[in-house]
Amino acid sequence: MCEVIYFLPMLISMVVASVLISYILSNNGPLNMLFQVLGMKPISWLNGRFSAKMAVMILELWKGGTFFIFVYMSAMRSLPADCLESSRIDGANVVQETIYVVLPLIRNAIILCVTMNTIWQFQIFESVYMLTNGGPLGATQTVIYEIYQYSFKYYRVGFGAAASLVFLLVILLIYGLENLLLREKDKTRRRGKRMNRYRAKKKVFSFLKTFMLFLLVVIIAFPFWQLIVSSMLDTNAIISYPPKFWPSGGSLDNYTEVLKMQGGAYLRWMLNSVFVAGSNTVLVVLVASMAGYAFAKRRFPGSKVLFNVVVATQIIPSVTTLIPLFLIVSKLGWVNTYKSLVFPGVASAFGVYMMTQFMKDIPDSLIEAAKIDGCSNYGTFFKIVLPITVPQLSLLAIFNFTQQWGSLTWPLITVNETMMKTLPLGIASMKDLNGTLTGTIMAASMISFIPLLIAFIFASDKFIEGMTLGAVKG
Amino acid sequence: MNKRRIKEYAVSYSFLLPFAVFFITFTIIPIGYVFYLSLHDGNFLQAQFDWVGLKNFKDVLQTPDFQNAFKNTFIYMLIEVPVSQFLGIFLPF
Repeated sequence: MCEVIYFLPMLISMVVASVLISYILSNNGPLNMLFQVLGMKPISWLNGRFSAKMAVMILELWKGGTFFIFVYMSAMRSLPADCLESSRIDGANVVQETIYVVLPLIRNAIILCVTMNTIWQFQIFESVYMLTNGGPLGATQTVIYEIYQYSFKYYRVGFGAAASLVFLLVILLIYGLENLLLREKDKTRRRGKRMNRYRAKKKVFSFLKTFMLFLLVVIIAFPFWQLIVSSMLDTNAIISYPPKFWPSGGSLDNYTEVLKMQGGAYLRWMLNSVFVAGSNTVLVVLVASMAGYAFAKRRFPGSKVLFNVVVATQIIPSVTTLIPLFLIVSKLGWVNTYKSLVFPGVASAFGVYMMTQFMKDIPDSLIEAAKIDGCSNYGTFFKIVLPITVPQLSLLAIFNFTQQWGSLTWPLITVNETMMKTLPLGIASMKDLNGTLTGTIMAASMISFIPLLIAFIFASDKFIEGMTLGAVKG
Repeated sequence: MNKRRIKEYAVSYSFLLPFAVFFITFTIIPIGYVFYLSLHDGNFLQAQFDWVGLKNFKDVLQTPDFQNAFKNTFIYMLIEVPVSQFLGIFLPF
């Protein structure tokens, strides 16, 4: 149950997350109420230079932080038991054990997480775009935000391209540093019998721990509760003090208004999102599994080189190719069409990499047997290989679908017609210039993540596994 | 024998083909294109790009907006990364 709650922030899109957090941080919102109850001064989060930065970081932390808890949890579960036992026999206390035994043992996981986190932080864009629009006075602007501004608002293409190459250079430096650190480590790798589950001796901390976990669940679940409540209130009730924690006097008017606004645009956005994320996912899974099968199970000249090229392109952040990609798409005449939303994402190097790994696990004898039985090359793939890799295919599909469902940056650039928008873009465009949160935005955000939520509840294990595929991505 | 091998290879490449089409159009060409663009000046509205050498790079490094953006990004990194890693490590304990 707890795991399901931890996963909610990862499941929703950055657009919805920013709606949630900007309500929590709003001037008359719950956090400022807490401050007043505690006798502190309320903070006007988005108006101060530093507090606006804080707000962006709170949003990023809330949305992405639990991912690392999952990675570390699984790293700690696979710790060798004998190392810990011997340290206890030697009389180490919890603090010593943590510093001298556990942390060195999960060093690889730490380096991976720090690198990944650094690169994520370097690529902050959607949170800034949604929460502060770079303000106040540029205090929250990030590199990608500037690249977006210069290329797509001021139309300085060459300048933006140069900036994205400078950006790429920095990312490559971070990766280089990570490699340096990881290589050093491998000498000291130890093996031992594995425990099912690692539990440190920590009776003193157990109360503290329970309290912390409870707090974490509250921090994650509370914004969702507030979203439900405020989606049933009218705008005046949302922005007035004190914030409401129960939808008394509420109604479902916001929901009917959302469905009726701009001539049924919301339903169209929903359909667009379903179609775009769905068809993109089908194409990615099909195309990537075919390529993965070729790389893993078939011999041909250039196989290794081509695979390495595909893997290497994963390092390149998407912003680097954003400007040329838009130029290509607009030359093809695809702006404001489904083609531009669906096709560029099919070139998923990550998908090919994952599928190649999955396909390697298929026994060669199975493919041989199919051939001997007279199955053609394509028959073997479509009738034997694809059906038995369905569990792995579904992981990639879940990963890809949730990413596409929540993506804002690319639709923002390539779509400007109301009826072609996807849900995240549509909701983002509902915010007015003052950034006031209205009841309709709350209801719109609420509806937008219900489909994923239902799927998640029915297959939470699959989702957790599928979405942490990204742990390998980096 | 040789013919059979060539046929085998052809089948292998045919499995790669669909991905290759997308990958070349939407990854490889854009990567080359971004280098070209960075050395030219122009905008989306006029289809013509003029060679300017490294001027764009110089501009990027000298524009206050970008210096500010890099500064902000580093601030985000320096604060958010330690906080989330600390929480990530010590909460599962």
